[in-house]
Amino acid sequence: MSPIVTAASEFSHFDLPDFKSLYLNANERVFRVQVEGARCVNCVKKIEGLQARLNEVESIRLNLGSGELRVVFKASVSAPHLSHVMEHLVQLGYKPTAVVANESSESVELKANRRELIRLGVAFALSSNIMMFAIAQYAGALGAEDRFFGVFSFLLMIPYMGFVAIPFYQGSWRSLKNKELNVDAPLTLALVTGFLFSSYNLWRGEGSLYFDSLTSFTTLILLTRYLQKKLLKTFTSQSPSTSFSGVEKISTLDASSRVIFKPAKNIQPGDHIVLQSGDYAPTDVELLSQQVEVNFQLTTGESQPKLFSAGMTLPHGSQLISAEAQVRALKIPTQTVFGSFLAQLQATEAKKSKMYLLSEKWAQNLVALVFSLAALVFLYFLVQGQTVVAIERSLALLIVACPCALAFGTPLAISFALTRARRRGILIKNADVLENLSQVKLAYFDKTGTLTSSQLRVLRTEPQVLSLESIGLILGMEQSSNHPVAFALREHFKHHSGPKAQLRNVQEIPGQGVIGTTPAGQTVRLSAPKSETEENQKAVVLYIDELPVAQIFLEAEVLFESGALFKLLQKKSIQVGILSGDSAAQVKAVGQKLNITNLLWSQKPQDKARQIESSPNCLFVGDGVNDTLAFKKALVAVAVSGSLTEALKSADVYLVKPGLKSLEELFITSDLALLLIKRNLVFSAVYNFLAGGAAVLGLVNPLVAAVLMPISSVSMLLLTHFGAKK
Amino acid sequence: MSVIYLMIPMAMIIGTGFVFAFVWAVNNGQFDDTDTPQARALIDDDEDLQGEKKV
Repeated sequence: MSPIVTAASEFSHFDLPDFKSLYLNANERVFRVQVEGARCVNCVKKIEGLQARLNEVESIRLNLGSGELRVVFKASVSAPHLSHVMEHLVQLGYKPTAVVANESSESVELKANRRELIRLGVAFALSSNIMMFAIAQYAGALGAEDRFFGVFSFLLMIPYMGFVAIPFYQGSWRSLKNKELNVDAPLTLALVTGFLFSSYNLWRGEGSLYFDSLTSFTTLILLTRYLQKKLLKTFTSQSPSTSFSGVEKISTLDASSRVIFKPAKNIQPGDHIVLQSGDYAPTDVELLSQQVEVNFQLTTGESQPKLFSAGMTLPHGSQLISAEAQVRALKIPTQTVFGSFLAQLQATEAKKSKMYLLSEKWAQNLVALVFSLAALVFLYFLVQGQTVVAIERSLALLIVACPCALAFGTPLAISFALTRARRRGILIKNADVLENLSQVKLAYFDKTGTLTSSQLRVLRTEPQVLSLESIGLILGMEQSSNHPVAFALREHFKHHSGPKAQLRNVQEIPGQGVIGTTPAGQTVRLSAPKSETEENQKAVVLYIDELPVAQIFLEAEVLFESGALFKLLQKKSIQVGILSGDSAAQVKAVGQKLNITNLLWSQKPQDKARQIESSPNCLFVGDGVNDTLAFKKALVAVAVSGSLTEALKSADVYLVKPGLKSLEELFITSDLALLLIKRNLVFSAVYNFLAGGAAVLGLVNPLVAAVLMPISSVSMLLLTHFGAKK
Repeated sequence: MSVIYLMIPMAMIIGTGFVFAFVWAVNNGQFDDTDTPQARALIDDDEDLQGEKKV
């Protein structure tokens, strides 16, 4: 918990030019805020009602789906107060995080979304009208009427080919460029030849038109792709954005000891910085205060706090646990080890060995097969001198047997699986994960935060029931401390009914404990006992005037419930290992409890990455920035609840809820998705075989194709829907 | 049946009108946020004002 600061001082830095230029889109006067906890009708009412109170604001709009608030300031206001927006949100009881303004990306993404939606709408409008004309033709329209309907479907076909079908052309172009067959290639070929041949038939007044079957299957494919993309997109919008983006507020002191706020990326060597308890060192800094306690959870993964004294260098990214301290910056943030590590993370895109996914492999084989069959059929009839029959049969084959059932079935199955996962708090960035999970042979866990909760927990006290006075004293001393012990004590005594003691001169002495004075003049002290405690336990003793009054035992690490998950992993014959930055003793203790023998301790980020790289088909579950290099090397990288933004960027999966239950669900969802995909593949293979055979024999005319296409699509939809219900 | 030569072009024109209406609506941002407007509809203006006074 950060120290209690009044609302005014917490957000006033938003009005400084340095910060305002970061958060405010100057052209559109737009300020965006991610509001945590805004998920209900009442929230919309309360938050948008702020407009009445903020007279600089022109409009204020909350998006319940993404939790993002969009504030537009009036053009007449030359220096808008961003801080007022933040303060009001806090007063309403929400947790606002300002979003760094990006001149282009918001509108670019918005425009792309809109374009896709328009494409989909136009596709449906055109294909349903074409279908209408086709039905009239099948119903027996003759002569002039038949021709009239044909001309109209041709007219509707032109915008379809020229606008709606563009993504398929792009996909085929990529396929040609990368020399890899994909599903778009035969789709495009079928679309283009089908369109040309049908138009030719219309012009010469005989032969069949395929317009309706061409448009109905491409429209369905567009729809499933749109849905899948939308489901994957929620990954980034729901992940919280926090530290180390370079925009966090740093308090510096100028020559006359006045506090000046600066964005972290503007820190210069020599800057005199004040760090509060819980803050991270924004660069490599020299300690000016006497003694502090620091934690390296973030940079190396070590969970035990360490003691530093004046003159020593605190590395960038280390977290201050003891009370306020003063430091001097030694480097600019990008030049430190941790800074270059962050830069490296941002620069390198996740480079993973390209896996050939099951559905891709099937699609490629099927595409190759259909292509060569169509070519054979074409050549066979061409040699016999029947040019029209050659075109007709090979085209029928391409249309009915093209792997559109496949192009449609796989994204459909994936969409269902992604929705299922999302309901259970599993956000998946990359759909390949669902398939890659089945290849996993080895699962590595970063210990703290994944297998164990990093927070301490009170085990028992001596005496068993503490007096209200003692509890009041403990809470009084620990009320604003960031030490892990303080969190545990506050949690344990949260139902305390008596008053908190009002202590004077409360002082946290790094490495020793907390000391304070009661109003009655007694000295109270909370510190470690002289005697050793058992392994994996910590104890603190409450002293009043140096007399021990009570002792509290804390469990150092609480294990998450993992039985069901490990049973599942065993069934899948996946080996389990721990890959941790913690010391040998801690890792061994956890390993022993969980019956894991594959243990690696004191691992630096680079060691972790190397270890993961050398074990193929590896799943890695981690939480910190120190895990991100390893994330990039893992086949499947899972970031757990509470991870930092940088970690999320390189992970494939983010578990919203703490604990291992979600991971188990992830495996179950992946199995289900694979089952659905396989079933759809078998279905489409059988369908392709039958329909393709019929096409080669000349049994498929446009009517048959028009009947077969929707039947196959609908039955696949039902098959997937009921399959996913399980 | 010759009436269809008149009806169908008319239907097509009306249909085109609706497609353009859809395109306009998308570009106007009507589909950007599909979660909040239904909640916004439930907010009562009067009640809102009373709530303000109480606060």
